[in-house]
Amino acid sequence: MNSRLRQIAACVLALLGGLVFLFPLLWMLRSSLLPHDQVLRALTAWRQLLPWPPRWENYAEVFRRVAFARTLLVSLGFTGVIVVVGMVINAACAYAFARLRLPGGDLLFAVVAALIIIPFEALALPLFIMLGVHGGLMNSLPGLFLPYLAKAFNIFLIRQYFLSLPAELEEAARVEGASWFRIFFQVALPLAKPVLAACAVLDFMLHWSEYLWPLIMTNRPDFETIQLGLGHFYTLPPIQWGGIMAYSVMATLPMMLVFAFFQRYLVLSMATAGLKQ
Amino acid sequence: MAGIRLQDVGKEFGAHRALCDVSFSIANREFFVVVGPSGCGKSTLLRLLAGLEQVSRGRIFIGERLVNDIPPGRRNVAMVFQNYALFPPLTVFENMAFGLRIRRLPRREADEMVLRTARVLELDPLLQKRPAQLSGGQRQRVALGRAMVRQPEVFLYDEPLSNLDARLRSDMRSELLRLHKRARTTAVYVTHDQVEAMTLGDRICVIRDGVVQQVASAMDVYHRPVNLFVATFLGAPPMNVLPGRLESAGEHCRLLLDGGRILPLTLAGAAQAWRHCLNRPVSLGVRPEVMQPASAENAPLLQGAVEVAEVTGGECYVHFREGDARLVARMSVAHKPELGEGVSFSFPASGAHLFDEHGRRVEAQLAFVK
Amino acid sequence: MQKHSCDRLGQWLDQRAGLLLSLPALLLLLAFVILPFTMAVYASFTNQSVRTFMQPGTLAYVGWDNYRELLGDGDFGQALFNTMYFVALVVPLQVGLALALAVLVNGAEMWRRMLRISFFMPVITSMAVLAVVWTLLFNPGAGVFNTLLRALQLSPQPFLSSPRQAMLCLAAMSVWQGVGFQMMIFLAAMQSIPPALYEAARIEGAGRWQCFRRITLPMLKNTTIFVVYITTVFAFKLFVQPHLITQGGPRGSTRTLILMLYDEAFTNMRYGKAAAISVMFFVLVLLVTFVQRRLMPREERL
Repeated sequence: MNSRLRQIAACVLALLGGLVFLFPLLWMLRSSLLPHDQVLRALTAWRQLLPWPPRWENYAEVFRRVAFARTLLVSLGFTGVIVVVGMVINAACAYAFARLRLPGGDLLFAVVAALIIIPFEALALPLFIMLGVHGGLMNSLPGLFLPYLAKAFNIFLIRQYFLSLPAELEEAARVEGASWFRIFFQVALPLAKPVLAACAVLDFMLHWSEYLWPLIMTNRPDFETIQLGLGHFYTLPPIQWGGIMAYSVMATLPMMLVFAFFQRYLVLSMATAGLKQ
Repeated sequence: MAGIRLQDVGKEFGAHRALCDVSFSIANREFFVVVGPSGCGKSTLLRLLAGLEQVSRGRIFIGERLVNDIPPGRRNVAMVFQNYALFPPLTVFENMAFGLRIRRLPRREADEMVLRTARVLELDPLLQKRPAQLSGGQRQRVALGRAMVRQPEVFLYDEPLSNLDARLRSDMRSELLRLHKRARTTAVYVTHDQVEAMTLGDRICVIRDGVVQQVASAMDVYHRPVNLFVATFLGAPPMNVLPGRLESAGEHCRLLLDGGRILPLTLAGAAQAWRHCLNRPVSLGVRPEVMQPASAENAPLLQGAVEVAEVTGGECYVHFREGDARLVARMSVAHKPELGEGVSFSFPASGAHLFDEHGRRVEAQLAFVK
Repeated sequence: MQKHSCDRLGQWLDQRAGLLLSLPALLLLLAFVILPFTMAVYASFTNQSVRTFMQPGTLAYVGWDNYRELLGDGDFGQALFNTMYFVALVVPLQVGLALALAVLVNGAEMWRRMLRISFFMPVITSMAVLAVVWTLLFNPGAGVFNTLLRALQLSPQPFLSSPRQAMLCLAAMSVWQGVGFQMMIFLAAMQSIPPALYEAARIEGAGRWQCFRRITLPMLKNTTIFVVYITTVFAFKLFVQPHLITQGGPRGSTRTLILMLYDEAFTNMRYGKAAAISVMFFVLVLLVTFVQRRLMPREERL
């Protein structure tokens, strides 16, 4: 009985601790449901902590004032292509390094591994010159995702994983007469699901919150990612704090959803997380 | 249907020499077992046959076809792996049909082949399950089924039974023999388990450190081992080895064991086979099961105090020490001696093997001088 | 006959599978990492501006001028100092806190799992959102922090509008945002320590603190080096917070290297100079990487 009580007490304490830690996020949620003029008003009574009655109108207003849906699509397209297409490209390369004969493979891999430490920030300008100024890819999805498709770090990580797998399954497929391409897609790729999911979660988090590169590569308000959109909405007169907070909540939701679905891969991704930019 | 021929096959991994000058032929429909301690190169040999590795030297023929440069899928061989290597996302049926699908066989025909094989292996009720839902023995049968479906010319087995428990293993062993008799296909079977090697193989190939020691029938390998390694590798407990020195003594010879005991011998057979051992160190090999307790008609040849007596059901293995040599003898449980008790054994000279100073078998009939 | 030639093609492709599978990624890396990196190094020795890049007749080699200018430039000195200051604030705080939180949430109990998720929530909230939210919290008039201070009878603070406090505020917010990430890495490492070690220690009579000191900490050594490394590199890249919250102010007190790089390129259109900042930034990261590799045992290195 005593231990049960202690457990409940621990849960309550933890809940309180968590609430304090999450206070800024809860505050955001609260503010998103307040009338604009009350967001910055000092509290005078406890019951003002709860936004009652909730003003859902703030959310509708976001859609009315800016092309939020379009912004959402741009963000989803940008992250989606990187996560899905990039994953296949990187996994294929990782597989080749791990299992297949490649002329100069070891040297090539050493070069790829060395690329990991080059921070994206050091490449942003020349990439802008290449893609934005001369490539004519300003305000376009390819302009946003092209530099991120191939990632030395993901190649490194997935290769490590392939190396840790026994080769027996692939050999069995080989003896049965499967080509390497079929083996990669049908046998190896499904086996690598944990590491691919880990990379996907990390990449989604990274690019959903990406700021610098979209800031450089877009200059039209009708083509921007959700993070940039928030930055603009934040300064769009008249400043309406309730709406800004509603925008913030909506910008956060997709990441929360991904987190909820892929939570179990997260610890693995953390165990292997490396020099993500 | 096809035999296999290896000509001076060698394989290196970097500086490590895995196989060295391997040459032998496997007859069509033969069940050929490759046995050796772990790391001896037996798996490499199998992978060379499968085409999963490329030879560094030499040539491999399957049937009359030189297969050195032919990829695994075109060698018409099937392989059963140690961990079964079933594709986890596919059902049992699709696992078995995998190779047929790749060969683009008409669906009806392929399905028919899978069903027929499944019936032989009694896999019918499992066809829609996935590998994760099967027991070890069932997975093993599916792996076998996948290999059989295509009716390949050669079966390659890579320690297929080593992950099963003892009971299942002996069941599968007899099952394998039954299937092999039925399919009448050439099979190459790699194992480190000597019981499997002895019971399954038409012929056995013993490998050590990448070098083939002996290729012969199970009986020959056991009763006429070419060297000390083969002699002590097969058989459990292993053959007793008594080091000594062979000296000529007028008409006959005598063997001076290192412990000081002297065994008077005559050696018959082609004299050139054994004469070079005279006045040189030799070893005498005696299997534990040919040793008998000394009696009136069997004069004691080896004696010592019992150090351990292992009972394995109806029999008992008595470990004792004669001089510096630790020896084992098999005897009936009824005569099990006490620890520390003095025991003396005799053995028939015809059951003993003579090896020269390099450990090579000396072909000669031994007999004790009365 | 047709089947035969199809087979031949299949075999030809199969023999080159390694090359074909790796080629897309390798070409992309060449085009979007190696090439731009070379361009940055090259451009840092020219007087190019963004709009005239690679147009004939306008290019001039200026040697080390860009670097000399940067090193003599008070602005660059300040940006470097601000960045270092931020790193010095954030790294020890964030790593220490992450380790403590990881110990707190390591276990299967319900409350630990609840805490684990709440500590991770800020990580999966984008920096842009948090920048906006914290601006609200830091608001000198009606912000929550000052409301709280007033309620506790303390004097309200200027926070972001004070050159002395602005960077501290950004650091506090960044630690809060990122600590869950590092905590998860520590947690994963802790969970990979074999339980038998703790059981053996308990049988030897070790208490909880002893277990932590003698087993957990030593087993986490490499993880800690790694976490310090990535935290440092992350901190060096500070950009979104000052860009959105303070725009580098007040009085340049939150101007960082990347912010300066951005301004030089897009406000002042001085590509050569911005490229020089890129290269120096890379050298900084390289130095940190070098230190990390020296500390890690060989087999753990990336």
